[in-house]
Amino acid sequence: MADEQKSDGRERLREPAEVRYREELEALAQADDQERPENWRLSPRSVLTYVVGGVTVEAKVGGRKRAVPITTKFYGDRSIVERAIVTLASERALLLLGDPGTGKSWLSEHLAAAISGNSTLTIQGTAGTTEEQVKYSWNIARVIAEGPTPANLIPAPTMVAMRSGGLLRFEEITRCVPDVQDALVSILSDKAIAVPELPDANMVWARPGFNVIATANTRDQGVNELSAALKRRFNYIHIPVVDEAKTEVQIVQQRSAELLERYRLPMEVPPRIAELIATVFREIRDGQSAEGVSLKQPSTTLSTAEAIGVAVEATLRATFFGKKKLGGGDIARNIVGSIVKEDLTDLGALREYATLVAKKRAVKDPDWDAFYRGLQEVVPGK
Amino acid sequence: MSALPLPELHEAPVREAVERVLSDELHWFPVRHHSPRVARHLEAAIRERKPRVVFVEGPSEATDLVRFVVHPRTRPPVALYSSFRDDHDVLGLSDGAGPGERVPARLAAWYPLLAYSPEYVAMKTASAIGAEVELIDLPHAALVRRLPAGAEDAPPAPPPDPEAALVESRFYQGLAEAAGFRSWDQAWDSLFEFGDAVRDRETFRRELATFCAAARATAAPERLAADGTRERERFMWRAIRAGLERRGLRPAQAMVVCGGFHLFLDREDQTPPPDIPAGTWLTSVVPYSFFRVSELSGYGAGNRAPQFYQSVWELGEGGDLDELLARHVVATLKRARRAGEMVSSADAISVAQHARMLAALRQRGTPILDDVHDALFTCCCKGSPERHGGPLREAIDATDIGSRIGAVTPELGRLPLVADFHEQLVRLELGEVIDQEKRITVRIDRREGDGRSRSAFLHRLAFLKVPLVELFEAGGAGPTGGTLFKEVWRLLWSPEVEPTLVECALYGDTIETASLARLREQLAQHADQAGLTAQRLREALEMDLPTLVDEAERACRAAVATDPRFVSLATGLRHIQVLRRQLVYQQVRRERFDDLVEQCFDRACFALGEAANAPDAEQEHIVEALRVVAETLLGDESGALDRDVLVQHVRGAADASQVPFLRGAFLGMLAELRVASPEDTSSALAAWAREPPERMVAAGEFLDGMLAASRTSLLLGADHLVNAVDDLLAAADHDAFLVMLPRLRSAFGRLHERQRQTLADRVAQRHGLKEPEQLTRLSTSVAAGVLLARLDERAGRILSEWGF
Repeated sequence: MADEQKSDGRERLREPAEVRYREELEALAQADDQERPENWRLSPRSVLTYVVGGVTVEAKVGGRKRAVPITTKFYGDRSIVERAIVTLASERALLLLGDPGTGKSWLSEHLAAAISGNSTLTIQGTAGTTEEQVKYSWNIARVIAEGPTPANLIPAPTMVAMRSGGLLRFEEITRCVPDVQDALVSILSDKAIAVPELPDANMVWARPGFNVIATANTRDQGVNELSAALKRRFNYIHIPVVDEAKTEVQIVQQRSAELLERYRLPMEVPPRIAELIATVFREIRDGQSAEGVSLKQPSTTLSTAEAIGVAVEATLRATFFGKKKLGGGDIARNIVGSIVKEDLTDLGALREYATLVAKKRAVKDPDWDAFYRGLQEVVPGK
Repeated sequence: MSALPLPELHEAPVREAVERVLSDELHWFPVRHHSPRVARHLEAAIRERKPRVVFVEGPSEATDLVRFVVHPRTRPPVALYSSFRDDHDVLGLSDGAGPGERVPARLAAWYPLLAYSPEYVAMKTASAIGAEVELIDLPHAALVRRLPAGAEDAPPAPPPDPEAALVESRFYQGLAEAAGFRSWDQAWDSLFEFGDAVRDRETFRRELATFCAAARATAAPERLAADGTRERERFMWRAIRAGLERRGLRPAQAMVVCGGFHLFLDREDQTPPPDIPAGTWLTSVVPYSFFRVSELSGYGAGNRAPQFYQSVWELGEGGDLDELLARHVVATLKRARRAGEMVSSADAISVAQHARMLAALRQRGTPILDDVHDALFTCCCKGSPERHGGPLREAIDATDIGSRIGAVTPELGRLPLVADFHEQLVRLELGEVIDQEKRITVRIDRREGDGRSRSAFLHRLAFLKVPLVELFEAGGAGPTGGTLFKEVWRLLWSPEVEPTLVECALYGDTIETASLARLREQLAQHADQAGLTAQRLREALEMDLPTLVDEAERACRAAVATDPRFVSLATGLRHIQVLRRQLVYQQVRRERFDDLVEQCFDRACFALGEAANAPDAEQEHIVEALRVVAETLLGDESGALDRDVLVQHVRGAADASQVPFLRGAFLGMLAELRVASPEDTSSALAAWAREPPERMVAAGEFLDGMLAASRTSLLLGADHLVNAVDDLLAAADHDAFLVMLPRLRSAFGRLHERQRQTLADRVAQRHGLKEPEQLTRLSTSVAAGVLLARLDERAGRILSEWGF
């Protein structure tokens, strides 16, 4: 469990959400006077408050009473979170669907942390994921010595979640082959896993509270699409790319600040640079600049997560190799890798943006000027 | 949670204002349009208070029509319709098309009434208890700002949204943010329509009044000044006082039914309301439909789900709302199933459960429409709502909106134009279309009996956009050809017919005079466009309006002489050609327009140069226009049209064009005109193969243009064409081919099946096919087929080396 992992005393690069936001969760649990579904740590309304944030809760933390601010974890449409929470309290499982970088896993982790206090019961779906990794496997040496017994069974995260009445996170479910996906059908309808090797204890039943949050990438749709039987057992919630400029700037700022803190970098992304990054991503993604200029759209998904990545990498670069002050030029030098991935013709999109948009703004704005000159270095015109 | 950051909102003055209104002797009842709960409370209030007169916020010019609205044979949805024609240009809005061409401004407004609209329920209930009803709102045209001299081009302001000031108020905005309301409809339903706290009538009245008082206290004063709220309130307050005085009633004997915002109108305001402009006013009650009242049809004061709220109204206070929602969900899913969605009863159960849980999470006692919509998408849409939710969205809209159509009592006299319409239908034996809601087909031969009159009448209706008629086959120019004298029309009645006719009444008292007036207006508006004026000329003939033919002809000649646009001139040419053919039975000399055709042809040829480098969006139109001009030349029997002029300008355009598609079209046209051989044209295509790759990819556009302009002539030299395409494909690498592919497909898609077959045969023969019978249908992919063929060839070679 996450709490136990923390107790080994070693420093971690990344803590799970329930550890990072322990104070907030604790404060919400204390203040929570609403009814909770069985085995939920918080009521649905408190889970919602934890995810959308923006309020302060009075609670006794570390032996003294104080106001704990609840930070915003998800900036998109609030109804997405409401629908997700309700789904997890219902009979159906939840599938979060969206383009890469739209925050599916981020939301899934926070929901699991708030609802069951454990976001680490996770299966990462790949083409090589097997049914054993979904259900259970055996300690082969002991099975050879003792035969199959409950003690020799190695439960997969699904089984752990079922036994504890917790949430299973199944990442990138559509990367798994159909046979593996279908292993979930009986788990979701019968709420049980059969273990035929154990004649005396051949069923593992889920406790109340058990449910599944899966994620799927819209770019993978059609690769291993879910069977009709499995689709029926999931509620799909589509997470769109953030469509409001102001919100995207906020996300870039907050998430890059968190990541930089993790690297213990004393720098921050200044608001005007966060705005520049978000603007560049938005305009290239939409194929149109604020001035109404039509732009080429690259083949890559320019998600907010990519924008955050650019902000953080540019800061690292400025810290270790630059002037220790993040500017438009640093952004330009780091943006190429986000926009040009598989298809070299995407360089054209960036080149076009530099000429048609950045160059015009450079005349009036020093950040755009630095950005334009940076782009000229890395993507020179023909 | 912190309090709303509204320092300017003080509780005491708001409470005071509310108290003052609610304790007034005159009983004020705040309403929202189309709200079942308000309607229910209001009905009870009127029955209990038994006022002698009820003042209702509605168009005061239509007060006389209330008796038709409440008539037992009137069935909502209906609408009060009010229109104004500014005969004397007092508003300064007339179309300044030119001297003597002034077109009076026409303004119209609709006031929809549903069975559960509080205004309608107020009228019905007042009528039931024998109380008078007076509509007190300012006539809509009085709100149009008079334009200062020299500002003719400024458009009149759009009609005000009755709830905009409330929704934009800082109180509502703060509340919506704190409570997470995504729309005003959602807020209304949560707080008032289904809110448990306001079941009691007086509590409801107080809560709504307080809400509106707070919104008004934080509304932008400039918004209230700009949207006409203050002018309307001055008028309403004077109408109420005058109404009481005229009847000799005390305030306690009356009730006022109006939007909650107006409860707090400034009674001390001494500014007089605006003058009601002098002109022609028409009012009527017309049938309306749920679709038109829904937001989807774009009318103000809409209702997002007329059928859903109708069901809520019919359910009555204390009915089982849970069951109603379940029925609504089932009906939606049934529709979605019919549209091919895989949804089952299990989904219906999940949706209902999900909606209830969402409502609880959102702190609502009962689910509202937003919860149901969210639940439907969550449980039934297996993907992105934008990409995969179309059928479900349509099913939701259809179930929410419904298809109910209202009816108006026959006792309401008809406007002269509407009466003329019905008389003509009967006279021309077309009356059966009114009595049934099914499509009828009318075949007309304009040479026989009353064929000409019927044709002219139907053409006039089509021109006036009365949604009753559709020309299926036109004489000599319809979508499917037809003969010169025969037309096929399809007629289908819809609830939109009557309102459209009422709108047309602003143009005249008969269908004929309305057609004349509107045609004259359009002539004035499009005086500089050859295509549109020629179309008007043709319409004048089709509608049998001889008085306008001369006028239209003059306008058309003037436009042809000055219009510099190639497409417009070619369109004009097409219309003039059609009308020349129709002159045979119109008693107009066919030769009358010969010189106009010649002039239009010449002007079009000279305008071609300007079109040589047109942007993408215009290119297809240019090629189509080019074909029209060429066909006119090829069909010219008189020899008056100069072939050399066209050839010279097409050649000039081809040389000047930098746009591959257009250049291809111009060269294709030269082949069509037989001044370039198919071989020459195909060589121009083959020349692209020698271009660098980044230019070569435009060859697809070039070929597309060629085949758009010329098919027959190029196919005469099919071998050359096939060779050129073959050379091109051999020179292109895979990427270049992919770039060219869409336009290549488009190019060959322009050919008829048989033409494609001819080309395919030539391709096959060029690659070794000797007899067409050798062809077999591929059961594999093309790539696999090619691979098999190569293997087969290698195997054959090895076998022959081995001496087999």
